[in-house]
Amino acid sequence: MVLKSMPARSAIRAALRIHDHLAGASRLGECPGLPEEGWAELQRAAARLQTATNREWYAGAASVQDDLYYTLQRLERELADIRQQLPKRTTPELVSSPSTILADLAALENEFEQCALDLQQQTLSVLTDPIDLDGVHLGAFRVVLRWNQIGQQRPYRVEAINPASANGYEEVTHPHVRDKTLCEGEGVVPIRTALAQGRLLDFFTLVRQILHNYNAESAHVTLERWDGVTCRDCGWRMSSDERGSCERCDEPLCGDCSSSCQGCDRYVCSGCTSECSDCGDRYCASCLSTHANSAGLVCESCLETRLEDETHEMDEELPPGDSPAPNGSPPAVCAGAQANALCLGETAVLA
Amino acid sequence: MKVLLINNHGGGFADYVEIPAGTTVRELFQREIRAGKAEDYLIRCNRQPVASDQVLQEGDRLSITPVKIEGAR
Repeated sequence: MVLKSMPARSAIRAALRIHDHLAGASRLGECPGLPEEGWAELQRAAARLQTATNREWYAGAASVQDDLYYTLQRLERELADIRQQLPKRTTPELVSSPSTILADLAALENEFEQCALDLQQQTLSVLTDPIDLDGVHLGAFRVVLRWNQIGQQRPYRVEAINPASANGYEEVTHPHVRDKTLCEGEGVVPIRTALAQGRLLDFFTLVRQILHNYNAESAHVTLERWDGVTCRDCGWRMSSDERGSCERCDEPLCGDCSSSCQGCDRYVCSGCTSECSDCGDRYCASCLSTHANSAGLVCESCLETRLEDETHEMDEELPPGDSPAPNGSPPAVCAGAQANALCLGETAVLA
Repeated sequence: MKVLLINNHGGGFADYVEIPAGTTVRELFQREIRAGKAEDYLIRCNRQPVASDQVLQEGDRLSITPVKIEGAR
């Protein structure tokens, strides 16, 4: 057997160590947490049923029996989840022998672009070919297996060589990879079985096939929104085709969140608009102004209304017959000067 | 005769199976994946691509892996 990229002695040592790990500690796995609360609830329901039955409270007993049924169902699901997390039971003869593992190492070199072994770090890694999904170029990925962690939750990681992460989600380098963790989906059971039995070629092949496929219904970020942006107001992720933007601050904005300024008709985000304190309509900052006699911003229309109202009030305050000075300023009023309506021809002389 | 059959489809299966002498790869595949098409699977014999009409030998290792495996989030 000729190994191209790894020294034969290193490969043999790795095969022996991997086998030793699989035959020993990897079959134990981590101790799962048991559903103690669920069990306690089941005991309480059973005790209530016993009490109701003893006292011949048959209607109550029927209701408690229903509770017992649902509690049992929930406990069964929790136990099934725990069983799923345990390392797959592997009969000793199905654990790959060191020679079988060595044959897998040699086959990996033919199956993948690169294959690398690190005895010190106890890792085995392969490089996939570049991955393109529906026209989105994601590049190649390195799959790194820590063989001494086989049997634990996450014994391997998936690293993008030249990350083409989803826009705004740096940790998502693939629709099914987040923080270098592959969400295995349909592959979870065959991957665990392959690792438990030391079928390394099968393991890396399964991971590669998942990376080469796209499940639009269950992706961290869908490909349609891979180059997308997040709406500034509602946080919804939209594709670049759907993207709009605020005409004031240029932040991305979805169709539902963009609203037009009542004054200038520009489409703006909520951050660039304020309410007119009189009419309550929303305007952009440049379409609102302050008014000397009150706090708050008002729109042009409300400002005109206020000014008209003030002018009208001032007119009402003037004595009858007085008219404002030509320059528009209110007339000075002389104290005591009264026009005697009965003295025709006389008129008050303004001081 | 016995061959090691590894089926990475669904729940996975890996064990020695007894087959009649002269069984081809295609025949064992059809027995194992009844409703599947061969082009939807990576079929390897002794870790190498193999022709469907190849006759299996005692101790051969046949692996069947779906081409399309859907991930999740």
